[in-house]
Formats: sequence, structure tokens, C-alpha cells
Amino acid sequence: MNVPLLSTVELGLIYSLVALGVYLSFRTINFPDLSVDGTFPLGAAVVATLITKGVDPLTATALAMLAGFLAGSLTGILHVKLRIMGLLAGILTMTALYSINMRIMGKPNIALLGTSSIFANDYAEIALILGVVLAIYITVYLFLKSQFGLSLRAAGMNPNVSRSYGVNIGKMTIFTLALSNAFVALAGALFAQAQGFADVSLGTGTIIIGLASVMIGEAIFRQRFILSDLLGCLIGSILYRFAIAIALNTDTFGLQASDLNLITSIIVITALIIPHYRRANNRKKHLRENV
Amino acid sequence: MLHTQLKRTLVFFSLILGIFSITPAVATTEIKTIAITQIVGHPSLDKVRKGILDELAASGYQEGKSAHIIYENAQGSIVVATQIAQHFVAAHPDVIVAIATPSAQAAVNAAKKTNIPIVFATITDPIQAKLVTDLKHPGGNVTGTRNIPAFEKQLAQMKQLIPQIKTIGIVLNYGEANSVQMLQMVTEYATREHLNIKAVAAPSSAEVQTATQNLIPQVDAILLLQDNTVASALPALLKVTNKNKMPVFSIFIEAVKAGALAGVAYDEYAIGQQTGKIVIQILQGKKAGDIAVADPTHVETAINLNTAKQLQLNLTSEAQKQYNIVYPVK
Repeated sequence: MNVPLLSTVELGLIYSLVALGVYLSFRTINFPDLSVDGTFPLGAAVVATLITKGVDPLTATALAMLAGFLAGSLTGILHVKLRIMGLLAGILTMTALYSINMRIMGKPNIALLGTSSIFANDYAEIALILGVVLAIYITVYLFLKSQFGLSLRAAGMNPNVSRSYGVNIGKMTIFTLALSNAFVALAGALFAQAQGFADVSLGTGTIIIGLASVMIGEAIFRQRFILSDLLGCLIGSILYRFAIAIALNTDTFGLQASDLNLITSIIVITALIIPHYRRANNRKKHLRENV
Repeated sequence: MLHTQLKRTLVFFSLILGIFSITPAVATTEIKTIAITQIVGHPSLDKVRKGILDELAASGYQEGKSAHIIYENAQGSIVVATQIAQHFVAAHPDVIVAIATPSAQAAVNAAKKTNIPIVFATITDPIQAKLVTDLKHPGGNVTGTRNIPAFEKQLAQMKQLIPQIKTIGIVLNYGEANSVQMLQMVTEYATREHLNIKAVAAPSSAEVQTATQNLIPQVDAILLLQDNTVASALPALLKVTNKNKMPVFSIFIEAVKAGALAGVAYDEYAIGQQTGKIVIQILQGKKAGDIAVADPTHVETAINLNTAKQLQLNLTSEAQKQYNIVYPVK
């Protein structure tokens, strides 16, 4: 069996930004946001197009994030201002983004192999990604701990009570979705530069990857603290990549290539049932002690 | 509480790392390792892979004999394709074969700091995909085979069967890299032949039938590109074209078998064999960068006589002989 350690961690780190985005929308404001399937390739499309046009990679990456921010606010506005159901608002943005990504790139695939990127060389690559990811995680941690972050979390937990305390739920929702999609677009921008290409079909299944990572994280950390939640996203995303890397050793396990999706599902299901199993066990223990 | 959880996570991680550090060596000196990565299961791509494997086997590179062949399929996910590439590079095979563009781009990127040769297969434009910079002298560790549609021959076939043809209709998904490129190519050839092209978009397979329906009154024939979206909705497309007696041509032969009138294509199995030949040259010591990217050579022409009959086209047995694949009247 072989598993490429560094590159798997690197992909996991990139996708931990997707996990973070999904955590923000899905867990803090209870919004299942499908726009991420469109904003991940959006980030890749913006960065690849700008870099091939000669824009400085750092500026291109920042603009990719901004594009994600705008796309996320679109989903928010559709939901809050136009009263479109959340799930549908995300699907609408995702669908529209497909055409927009095609427009941005002008063709379905842009190769970046051998062009400039924010990564100077391979060793700096993982270090830089780690730096970016940690900086964003720390910012989000401090943000969620702040007064504003607290009202945001409250808005998600109990909208009615928050509203009565003067929290503007609509604005909170739009802002969280914008922020979430900015992170996802950043992940797409980093992916395109690290892997050397952007493709319009890059986004397939991004939401599943994000959700799975969040849930693997939740299976590891049982308590719901902000710190453990965020660590869960980060570690969950890396573990998810390792799960796939292990599943790729099909010849070791006597499996065949097409079994991969099944194995991935089994791994995620396992991560999902562990907490239930633990809870049931605890309950039994509790009962026994009380007899 | 958090502390014990952190500790447990750390233990878990170190266990995983422990497992990976006892990676066994893969290749011995005798057995060559060939790693094949493919973006998605698709009849055309599967044919290419079969061609590669048969060609390798003919030269003795067979699983269990003098070769170890690893095959992974990304099932359409580009992220998984990059993980497959990284997985292969870590296994350090003697050659990596990459079927279709995203898999090839992922392999070239993953192997850029190694000396593992990469052979791409059935790529329409290897230069635009930045796999190589020169088709004749690729340099570096990358070479492979192209797959370009035989448009000149295709248009000639259409003119021969439908002499009054003026406008050709094309249904395609603009999201597919190859389709867009093929549309540009066929438009160039058609202009040279004084034919018009009318293209309509079908962003998903559910929209293929409606798109075709809209196209029918405006065109004299429909040409199918190698578009995956259209290919997966082929029965829906053929249903409306048959009803309207609209001749359909195809640059992939399976469509003719399914009920299109006729088609011309480079044989994908033969492209696979060409790819296999390049792999063998590399296994025998030649540098990938010294091997020119190979263009397809073997053309297949097909006709479906059942469809011809429905369209009231009468083909003499002499005329039938120029097709090397003939699907008979049912």
C-alpha cells in the first residue's frame, strides 16, 4: 500500500477551506448551501483566467475570493430579499455559475502548468497553503468569538429570540453565505494553482466533500465548542483525503477501480454512525450505573 | 475533555502515519510497472485502454508475466484524478499512462519533479492543455497520442449521401472542452466546403431532445460530435430525428450502431494500440521526450442500412462496399 503523505495533506488543507465554508453556512446558520459546487470552480476560473492574462497571482487569488464573496451574497439575497427557499437559492446560484464560469474562462479547461502562481516552489507550496489555511481558521475563530460572531451564531440557533434582541437575521444570513463562499472560492483558486489547471467540471460533489469533512470532524470531537468544531473541519478534511488515498490502493485490497465511490461512502457512513453508537453506549452505561 | 480528545486524535494520526511509513517497494528489476489513470468510464476511453493493454500484452507486458499493471478510474471527479496521479507518482512506476485531458494534466503536474515518463492517450489538443510544447519534439518526460476528428472525410461522406446538403446542425454541451474545440474545427472545414454550421446548446442530457427538436427545421442534416452529454441522451435525439426523417451523422461509430445514418472516425482501439507502442518504446529505454506525439491513422467508416432504408436512401451493394462497418437492415 502506498499513500503520498505530503500531497494528500496538501489537498486536505485546500479542501479544509471548503469544509470551513460548509460549516459556516450549514452549522452556524443552518443553511444547506449548494452554491459551493459553483463557487469552487468559480475561484479556479477567475484565478486561471487572470493569471493567463498576466495578472499577478496574489491579486488574482484575492479577486477569486471576492468573486466567491459576491456569488455567496447572491444566494443570500435570493433567499432573504426575494424569499426563495434556501436549498433552491443555492441550486440557482450553482446553475448560473456554470454558465458564468464558462464565460469567464471562454473555454472549459485552462491549463496553468508551467505558468506563474502564488507558489514559488513545491516546498513553499504546502507551507504557504498551511499558512493561508491557518490564518483563515484563526480569523474565523476570533470572528465567531467576537460580539458580532456571537449574534451570528445566535441568529442560527434561535432566530426568533435573536430578532427580539435586535439582531438583523437577514443581513447575518447574507454575510455568512458571502463569507462561506469566499473561502470556497479561495480553495478553488488554490487548487487550480497547485494542480496546474482549472476545469469547468471541477465543482462536482464539492458540497458532499465539505459535508463529509465537517461530519468526520464532528465524529472525532464530540463536544460542540467553536475550537473543536473548527479543528474538526480541518482534521476531517485531511482524513477524508486520506480515506480516498487509502481507497486508491485497490490492488492491495483486491478491489477494483470502480469501487472507489462505494468505499468513500462507507467511510463517511462510518464517521456518521460513530457518534450515535457512542451515545447509545453512554446511555447504557448511565442506566447500568443508576440501577 | 478537549484535551483527551486532542490526544486521541493525535494517537489516531500517528497510527495512520505509522501504517504509511511501512510502504513496501513496488517494482523489482525484472517486472515493469505500468500505471494507467482514466478520468471516467466511457465506451471510447475504455476502447483506448483495451488497445493499450492488448498492445502491451502482445509484446509480453502482461499482468503477472513481465509487467505489473495498475489501473485507477477517477469516476468523473477531477479531485480524485489528482489524488490518483499523486498515488501513482508515490508508487514510482516505470511509466504512467493517462487517458483524457484532466487525468493527463493531473499526472504531468504530480510527476513534474520526478523522472517518471508520462504517456497521454487520445488528447485533442496536447499543446493547449499544456502537456507538451512541441508535438514533434516534446522534450521532457511527456509524450502520447492525439485524437482528432476526421472532419474532412466526415463532410465528404455527408455530401456524398445527402448531395443537396447546405446547413449542418450540431447539438453540444458548451461545458465540454473537446466539444467546443471540435465545433471550431468543424466550422473551419465546413466553411472551406461552403457548408453552414448551426449549433445549439444542450447543457444537460435532459435538454438534448428539445435542442434537437428546435434544430430540425433549420438544417439538412445533424452531425454528432464526441460530446458526452449528447452521447448519453443519444436515444432521445435519435427518436426525434427518426420521426422527422432527419439524417444523422456521427464522428463516433457507436452512434451509427445505435441508429445514426453514417459516420467516420479514427479507430479508438487503434489509438490505444499506438499509445501502447509508445509505452513499449519507453519501457525498452527510449526517452519520452524523444518520441513525437502520434496522430491517429486508422479511419473507420460506418453506415446503418436500416436507417438508410427509413430515410429512403438507396445504396447499391457497390456503394455499401466503401464502408468498412455495415449495420444491416433489421
